[in-house]
Amino acid sequence: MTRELLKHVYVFLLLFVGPALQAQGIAPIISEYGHGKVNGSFTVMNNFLEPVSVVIQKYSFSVNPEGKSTIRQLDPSIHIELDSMSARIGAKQQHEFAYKVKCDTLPCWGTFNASISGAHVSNGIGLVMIVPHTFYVCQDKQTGCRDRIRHGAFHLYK
Amino acid sequence: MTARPLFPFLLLLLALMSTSQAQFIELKGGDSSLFDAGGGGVVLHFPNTTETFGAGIAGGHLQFGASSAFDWNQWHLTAGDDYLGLTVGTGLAVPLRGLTGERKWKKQTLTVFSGAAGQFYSFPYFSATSVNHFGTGVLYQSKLPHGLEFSTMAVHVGSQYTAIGALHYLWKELDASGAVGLLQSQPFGNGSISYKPIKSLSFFATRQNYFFDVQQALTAGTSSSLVQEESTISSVGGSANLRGLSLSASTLTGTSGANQVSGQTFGGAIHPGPLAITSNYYRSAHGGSLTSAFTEKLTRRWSVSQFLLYSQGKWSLNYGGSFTSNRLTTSVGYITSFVPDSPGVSPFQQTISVSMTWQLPHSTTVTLATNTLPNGVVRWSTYGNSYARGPLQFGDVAGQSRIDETTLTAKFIIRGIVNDLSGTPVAGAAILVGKETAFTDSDGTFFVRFRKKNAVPIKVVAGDFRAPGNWHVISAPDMVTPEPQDKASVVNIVVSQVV
Repeated sequence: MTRELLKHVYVFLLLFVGPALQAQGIAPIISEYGHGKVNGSFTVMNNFLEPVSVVIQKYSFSVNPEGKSTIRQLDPSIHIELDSMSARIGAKQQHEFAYKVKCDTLPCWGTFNASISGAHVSNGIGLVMIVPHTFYVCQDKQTGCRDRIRHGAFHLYK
Repeated sequence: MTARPLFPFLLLLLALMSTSQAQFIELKGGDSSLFDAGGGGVVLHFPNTTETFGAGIAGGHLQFGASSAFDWNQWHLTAGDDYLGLTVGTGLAVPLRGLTGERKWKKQTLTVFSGAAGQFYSFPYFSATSVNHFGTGVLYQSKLPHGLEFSTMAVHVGSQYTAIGALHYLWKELDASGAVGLLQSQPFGNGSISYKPIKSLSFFATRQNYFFDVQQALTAGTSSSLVQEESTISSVGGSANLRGLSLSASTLTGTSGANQVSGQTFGGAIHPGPLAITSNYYRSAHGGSLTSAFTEKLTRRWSVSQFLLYSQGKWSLNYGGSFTSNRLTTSVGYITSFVPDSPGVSPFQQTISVSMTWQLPHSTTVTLATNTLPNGVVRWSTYGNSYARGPLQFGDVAGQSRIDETTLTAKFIIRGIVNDLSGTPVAGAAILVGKETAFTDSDGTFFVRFRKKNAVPIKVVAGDFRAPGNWHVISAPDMVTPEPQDKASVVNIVVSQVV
């Protein structure tokens, strides 16, 4: 008697391995770097059904003790090099942006805002969705860099 | 010609006729010796309706599927193929063909179905359903206070009943779920519990039922019949994380028919710098096996791996790795699976997998994969999909849709700024530099990196601006030459918005 397990996933019982639903957006949302060295990247995912264009802009930000954040032009003491500042991403595809950061003083931090928009419109409103990737750079170890900056520079303790 | 083979062709004809009206069209197709299936499908997205068509050969037989999903009053209706899915405490799906209606309230969801039920074929490149019995069913899900979630499903298919109740409880670091009842008139029970007393320590216990259709033949080449078989896997284990060192251990028991197997796993992982070391020991009645993987991240794109395997008294060393870029992602690796239906051999079985995925222009993605099974047989799969704007207009409104490779090591750069006639920066202007489209930021600036200092054409693509409105070019150069980054001059472009 020979028995061969059918390759098809017939039947009535399927194992749902957790629906890995990828939201429209960016990954990772936060990156931490240690020893002042930053050679990182982030990936923008397009889960729309049509191509989108993405423009990356870099900013500095601060957070007051109440937790309210303020975004501003990138501090001149932070030097960022991007491999590309814009891209067109096909439907259900993704694009990785690489960057290097050098800071005159440590710790330092900043954010990349990826503004995502669809096809050109001649009339009406062009919608833009903005998703951020934030980086924290510390002089000492990488682990816990964000928390140390939140405690030290932002005076946030929770 | 009988009515059954004619039906898929009528579906195909309907799909082709519908494409001319669709807002977005998804095309997919593929073939696989791993799944023993090949075929294709099309998904048509209309403003208020989604139509899905699929057809192919699976297990040597023609299979097809079609569905239309739309909203009616406060119901979400699906006419055609669908499934009733119970995900709380288990993973259970009943394939259906008929009319399915779903109504959602704030904390409750009710799904009802009437039609026929049968078997489901789901592959990355097409989905189909084969029905053989009249069926009707209902699924009710409710979120209760105190972190409780309740679901119940009742289905009557042919002469068999399915009635399952499931509960999920989440309280702080305790996560428990279970499902019990009758599945096709057979007793059924699944459950899992996990507890994390502290951040670096967790425990779990699970019990899962798996059901398969097994092809049974008296001798090779004779007619075969499908026999339903059940496997059950139970596992208990825990994991701990101590200063970057991850440790895990589990014990597994599996039954498949009269065959019962058990095994234990012990593992550890550590990530010193760019190196990742994982090691797992698998123990069963057939002896022990050790799998160790050493992965070095060489660059942002490249990593290499060495796999050290010890099994049945023999050591072996294998190599793998991965390459990731915006165009191509490829990897070679090993997967260890616990297979209860493996009489006479260890239930822990290693599979070598090789996969390559290309992101191509026009929103097209192609994947090629091979799997070398524990018995040495190589199975392959190839499939792809593409998205188009209807009616039959591929890719973008203007310009090309392409994934370009630029790196920080590219020495040359073209920088530019786009202003309007008043000198105000234009955000979202599309500039085709060589073969790459760049978009300006809020300061009206753009840049594109190049490896070589060769002059490239530059063109303003007014029909592709992110900024709304109609634009035309006042002044722009025809050709530009990339320059070293620290010496690059700025290309000035002036555009005007047509009022």
